[in-house]
Amino acid sequence: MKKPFLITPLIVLLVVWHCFFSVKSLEAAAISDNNKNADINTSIQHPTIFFNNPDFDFGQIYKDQKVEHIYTFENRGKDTLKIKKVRTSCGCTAAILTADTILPGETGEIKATFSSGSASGNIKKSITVSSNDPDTPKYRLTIFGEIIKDLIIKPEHIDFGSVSTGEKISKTVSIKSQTEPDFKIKKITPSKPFIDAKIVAVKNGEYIIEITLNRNSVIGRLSGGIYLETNSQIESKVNIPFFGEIAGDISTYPKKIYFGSVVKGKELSQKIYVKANKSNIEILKIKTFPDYISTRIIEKKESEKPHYLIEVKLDSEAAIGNIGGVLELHTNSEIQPVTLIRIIGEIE
Amino acid sequence: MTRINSKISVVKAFVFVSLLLILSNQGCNSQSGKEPGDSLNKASPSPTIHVVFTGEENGYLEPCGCSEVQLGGFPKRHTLINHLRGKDENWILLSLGDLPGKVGRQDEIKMETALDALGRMGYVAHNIGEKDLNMGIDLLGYLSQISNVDFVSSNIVDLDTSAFNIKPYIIKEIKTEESILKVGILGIVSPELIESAYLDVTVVDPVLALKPLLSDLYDKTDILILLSHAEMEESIKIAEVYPELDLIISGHLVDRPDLYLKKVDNTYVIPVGEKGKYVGKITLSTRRKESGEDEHVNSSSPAIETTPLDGKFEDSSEITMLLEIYQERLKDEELLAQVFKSDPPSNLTYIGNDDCAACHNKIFKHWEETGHASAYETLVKAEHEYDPECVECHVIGLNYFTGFETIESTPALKGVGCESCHGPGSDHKETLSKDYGKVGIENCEICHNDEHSPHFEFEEYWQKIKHPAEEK
Repeated sequence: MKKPFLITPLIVLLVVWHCFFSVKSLEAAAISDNNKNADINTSIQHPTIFFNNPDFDFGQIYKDQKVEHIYTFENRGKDTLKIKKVRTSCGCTAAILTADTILPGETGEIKATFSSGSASGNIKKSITVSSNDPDTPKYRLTIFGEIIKDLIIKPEHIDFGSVSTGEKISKTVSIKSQTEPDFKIKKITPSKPFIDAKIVAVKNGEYIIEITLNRNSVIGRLSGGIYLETNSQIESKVNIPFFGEIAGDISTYPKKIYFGSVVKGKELSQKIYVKANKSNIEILKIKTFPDYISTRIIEKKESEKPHYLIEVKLDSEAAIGNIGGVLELHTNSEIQPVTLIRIIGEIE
Repeated sequence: MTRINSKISVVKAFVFVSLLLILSNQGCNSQSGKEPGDSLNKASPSPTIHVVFTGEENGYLEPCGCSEVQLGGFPKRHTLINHLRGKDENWILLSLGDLPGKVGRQDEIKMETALDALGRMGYVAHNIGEKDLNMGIDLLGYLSQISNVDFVSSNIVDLDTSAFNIKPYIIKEIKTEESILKVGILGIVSPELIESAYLDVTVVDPVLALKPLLSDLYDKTDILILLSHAEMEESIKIAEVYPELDLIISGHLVDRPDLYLKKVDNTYVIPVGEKGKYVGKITLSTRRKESGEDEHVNSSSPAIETTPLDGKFEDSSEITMLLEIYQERLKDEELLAQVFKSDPPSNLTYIGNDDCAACHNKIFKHWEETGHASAYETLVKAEHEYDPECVECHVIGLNYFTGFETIESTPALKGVGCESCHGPGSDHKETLSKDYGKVGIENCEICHNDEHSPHFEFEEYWQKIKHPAEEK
């Protein structure tokens, strides 16, 4: 009877051991666990890297400015600390200034340089310090702050939206400098001939620019920029993008269909979206060329201005060679009776 | 009889111990989780799904630059996803948002290409980020119609276009060996990131917007995932308010996602990184509703990985072909000719390499032997010679009048020529001024920046191109 008596506690011990001592760690992340209150642990027989201030906030800088910072660290362990690698992410460089082997109790320095470049807004960059500290083999430092622009432009781009053919539309943009007390806009140049831009108001150094999309009969999407030259020392040249669409009776997207290089025997399909911009406009018929291209209306949303989703299928029997096809969209529109959509690709 | 009884007792004890060990092993694994990557091929005691997540591509369809071993790109991503699918079909692919980087026709084509790529890879949801919104509601609407990926946003409302096909949430069913799991996918964008005064959209506070949706979805789904296009701090706050969320994919402005994983109670908050350099993967399991208690899913620790898309991954031929179409479209639409040009500084003009060679022949011959001289041909070889974003650093003065226009009209301005570094040479040609053309590291860093030239070291690279003084 003794055996069963002994076996039970042995079994329990075995199970407990298996559960608790074979658990593996979950975390895949490198953690810079920084216990600032830890004293030098003389009982630990390995190096211990410690940064008093691993996170540096540079506050605000302007575009194209650089920031430098020195991180100081200490070996709080009992063995020699070896810095193996200092790795940074884009926009940041870092290098160890002192020797890469640090004796117990001694300190080292890592210098980081961040270049703002053309970035703007809040940024946060990581620097990973790899060492032979077994508890923290990868120590994460961060450098963060805000890159501000000298010129405050609102909005930062112009969306004309969907504009009917023959319609004229104007939008305004405000621009001011945060550093130039006597801020001036020296020159304004729109990139498209059908766009006008002029200063309509100046108040307390803030310029209001009116940007006008003149009557344009070319149906389709448009895009470009308003180029400004200013007396800002930091941003002497700036571009304000604009985009929109001149809409006829119908809008189609995309304007062309690209199948690319297709292996013979493969069937492919793409979709086009057709939107009626006026009531009573509808698709009468769809024709495609060559004959191995077919279409199917897969969705029609009935409303005052119906929408269509059309599948354009490249048949597996397509002959080898350049596709060079076209889709003809016939509608009851007087200004857009036929819309052509090119189909581009090659069967190999 | 006593011996037989003893043997039976020992056998019973042995069987009992074995059963205990098996059960305890399962219990331990569900509490401690598994090493990253180990779970994918092992059977789990409860139904599991695998989630892949990406985002914040910011216009990077592929690594930008010509250096070796750069991270990212849709072609490599597709290869990784195909590899994962080869092991297990049950993957949910999610996109956090911000496919484009800037505003303009090239970014419109990029976004279309990126969505096509996501569709081919089988993504089920694309969350709307602020850079997606910047493309304009009309274009976004068109893309939402033709894309094979569902657009999701739980807190963008009152969209002023009927073309926009956007869902407040998606429920995706995943058939596992054990059961059919229903995964609820929601998406938000932080109002802090949006200048909504200039957009025809209303962006609701995410915490307010999510409340009714989560109430509705909680009983209809087994797993709840939020695509949170916001900074980590905001995403963590959402996790604190809504512990019923199993996973929050987040991380606006996080460069190294592997360093910023967080767990808030039972909710994992994981960033995607930036520029498409990383792919995140997580295996989620659920033991929901089995016990009848309100037991939160994923009290077990899932396997999490953030994989850098590096040289280990070959480029997928399908997506490479898609990027070739993208380059073809740039050529087709003549975007190079539409590059905005301004006047060169100080009313100078570019004169071209041949004019410089007339006087500085020795230097010119030295230059011809450097990589700078063949910079344009490098681009042609890579079939990117019609991409304005690439051409800018491989020719002289693309962004200025009298600078490079096309290879046919301005052949003397191809390559990283004399005036690329020294500036327009018209005045120097006329006056032979000696103060022309001083250069420093800042001239190099315009093109050799961290993204295009991550291995750039000025001292090392300078040795490759510095030219001797011209003989007098």
